[in-house]
Amino acid sequence: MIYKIIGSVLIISGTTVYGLSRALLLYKRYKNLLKISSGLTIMENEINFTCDCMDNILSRISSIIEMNEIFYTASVMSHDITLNQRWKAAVQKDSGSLKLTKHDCEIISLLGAELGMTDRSGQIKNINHIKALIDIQTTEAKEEYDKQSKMIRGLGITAGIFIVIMLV
Amino acid sequence: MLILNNEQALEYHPIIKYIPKRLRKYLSLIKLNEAEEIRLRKGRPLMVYFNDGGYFINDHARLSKNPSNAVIADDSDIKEAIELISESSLYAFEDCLRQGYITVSGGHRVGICGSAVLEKGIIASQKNISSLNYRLSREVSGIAESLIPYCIKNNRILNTLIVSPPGCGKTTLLRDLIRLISQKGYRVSVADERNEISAVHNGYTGYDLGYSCDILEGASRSEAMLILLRTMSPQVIATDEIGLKDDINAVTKAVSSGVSVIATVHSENPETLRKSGTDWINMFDCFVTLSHRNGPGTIEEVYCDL
Repeated sequence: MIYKIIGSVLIISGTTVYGLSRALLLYKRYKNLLKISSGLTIMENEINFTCDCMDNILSRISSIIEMNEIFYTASVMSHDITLNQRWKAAVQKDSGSLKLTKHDCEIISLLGAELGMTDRSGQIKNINHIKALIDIQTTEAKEEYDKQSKMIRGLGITAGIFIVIMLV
Repeated sequence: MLILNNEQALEYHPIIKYIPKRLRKYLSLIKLNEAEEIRLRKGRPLMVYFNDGGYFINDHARLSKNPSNAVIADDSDIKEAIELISESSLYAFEDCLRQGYITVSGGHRVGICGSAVLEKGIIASQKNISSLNYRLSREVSGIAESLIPYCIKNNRILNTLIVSPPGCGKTTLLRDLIRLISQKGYRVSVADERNEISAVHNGYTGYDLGYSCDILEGASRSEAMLILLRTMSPQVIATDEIGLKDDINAVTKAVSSGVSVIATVHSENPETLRKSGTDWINMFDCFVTLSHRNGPGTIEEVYCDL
């Protein structure tokens, strides 16, 4: 009997944790999109007011916004490739840990095409355009999180109970 | 030797990291420390200029006066070079691009030439960039020592004008003069519009300008001189390549405020300047004329009007 109880607890805990982790992924995507959007706001301000070089701006953003991997990766990556290539490679490398979707990555990668290589007003327009697209993705991620997180968490527990009932 | 990345390039010569990767291997076998200019022209041979003129580089990385088998710079080389010299931040060099140059770390100035983009009749930018001229700057310590007895009289720095045609070492001489005067304890303020004198990068000077030297780089010479005059209480203001009306007004203001000015100007000699009706040179007490006769920095004449 004791084994059955322990087994049941383990199964329910396992499925519950799985449900919670799935819900956490949705939350992480939403939070990371917000951080990237904030990073772009800082980038816009830095270009507008300090007119500093892009490498300095990228490393400053990564130091201001905690865990903002893309900006950090792009700033420390080898300078033997163009900034556009560095940015795309950084998005590719960090998309997994940031829990971004393929469409999120496509949008963020778009920034690299003109990053640094136009005049100030061109940079601001480019950043604002990408930020607007990211904001749409952020809204979608928030809605997805609000809608699905409770359901996924509930499903995890329910699935555990269901398996236990079936086995017992 | 094949230079593969920026770190290796930097060990060879600082300018190499601003050269497109495809062309680095050709330049890596050449003594760039003795070179004066590297020129990239779209669809034209890569050229390196020394004291005795320009040379082509053939595909065996040998210097030659013969353009056959010369390495040709193409469109992608020019684009890559622009990205490298602007550190992928062209927006940060809008003003420089308008004026046709970008100064890279080390104080090397890259001249840029293409099609001007006009806005209300004024050059707003450049497009279709076709030529780049890397002017290699160098620090030569001690070349201005012989000038010190002429430039300092009764513990006062004379208003000194260094005169020469382009490429004769005015900036190099000015830089050393600043260093020597600054090390003697005079408060020297440098209006370094093109960042060629000080080669400031991230707030640190690339060249030794002595202990008591303040630098304002990036601002127009005239504006910088007036700001320095108001804010840094200098004993000496140094600047490069004066000639515009605003520059002269700023020099006049500094001189009338009791601050000594050391400046350079493009001309054959002071006499040529005088003949062209330039009366502002009367503000200067000491004239140093340079030529290219025995290489850049050959002092032809020092004339002090005191």
